[in-house]
Amino acid sequence: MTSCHDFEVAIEQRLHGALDAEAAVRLAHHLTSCQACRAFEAQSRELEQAMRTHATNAIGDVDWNRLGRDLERWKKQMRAGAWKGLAAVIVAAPLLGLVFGYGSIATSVVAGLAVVVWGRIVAHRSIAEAREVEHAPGSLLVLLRTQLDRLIRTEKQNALVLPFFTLIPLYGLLTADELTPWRIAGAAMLVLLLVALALRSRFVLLPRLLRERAELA
Amino acid sequence: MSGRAPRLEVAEERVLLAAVVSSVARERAAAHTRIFEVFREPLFRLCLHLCGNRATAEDALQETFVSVFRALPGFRADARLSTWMYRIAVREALRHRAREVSRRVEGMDEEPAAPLEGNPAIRREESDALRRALGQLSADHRAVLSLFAVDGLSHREIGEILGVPEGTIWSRLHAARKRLAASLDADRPPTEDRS
Repeated sequence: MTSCHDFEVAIEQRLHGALDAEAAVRLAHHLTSCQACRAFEAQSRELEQAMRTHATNAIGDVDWNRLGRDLERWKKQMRAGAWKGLAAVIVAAPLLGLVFGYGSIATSVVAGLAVVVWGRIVAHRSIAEAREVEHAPGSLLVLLRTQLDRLIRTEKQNALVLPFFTLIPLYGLLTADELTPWRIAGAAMLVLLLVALALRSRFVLLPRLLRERAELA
Repeated sequence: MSGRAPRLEVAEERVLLAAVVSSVARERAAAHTRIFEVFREPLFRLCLHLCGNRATAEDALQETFVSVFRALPGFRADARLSTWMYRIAVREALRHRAREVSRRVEGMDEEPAAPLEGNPAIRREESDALRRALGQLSADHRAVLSLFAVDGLSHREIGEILGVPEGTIWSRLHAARKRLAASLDADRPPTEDRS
């Protein structure tokens, strides 16, 4: 330790009980003659105390029972998720069959199942990310940025790919034996839904994620 | 001190980890409750410093527990449970903060900070100044300062949580402290010269 910078780092170590005895003696000797380092030590203690007091006071306002109840509610929702997915397929399949003709009900069921599988993938993303946090070596912040980059890529893909899926209902209309108002309305709703999802990805989610990325950079 | 970081004994940690994969729902629920009670306060402190306000910190804390409870059955105990939970809390808190900053750009107002003890008016000002100064730091600096502000965490544990070498922890803490002090100084109104 030769410069004030080194002694300031030693002050940090002493504040957190990580300074060895020999270095502590040298630091004590330096502090008797250096007013700037003494001021740094006082300020560091003050700031740490302020941060702790700030947190301790805020803890008093936290409603732990509410947080506990919210977690319980979340657990129930997770359990209910699978049943909701099944219910969605049961409702969606006949509706899609109505639009595309009941002959294509098998396709509709497959589409419904795909929605459920997609939902499961989304639900499991957080599990995968949490496991990644456990196993990934290196900086947590680098990992966090990587995970965010992955989300950004997904939204970019959604914005590009989803409009192409509008071709499916349009193809359904073109190949239909008869154009009933129900069929046209159903296809229009599907097209609108896909376009809305693509626009949401491009103009809402993507800019938000990019701002988050910038904030973390 | 009231804010000591939780110390789950290794034996109890093993019992809890066995309970979360138990086929008995009551055992799983009891393990979740114990984990929530042991870690809620220190994780909240961390989230509060990283997020800057109580509401966002509460959301981040809740997401942390949701993530932990979801992924706990697959936890392979490569690290201590506490280290893993702190890592998830840092991740959730930084993401929530980034999300909040992003929303604020879209026009949301900021919540004032909880006041410090003492004269409420003066302490609220100090508390707000501290929050503003913390908000100006980079994510790296906020994370290291916040972890050191959670009592009882050693620099070794903080290094493990952030995934950086011990030497880097000290230099990062020092740089963060300097930056924080500079931000607080810049935020302070100029004192009048009465000579």
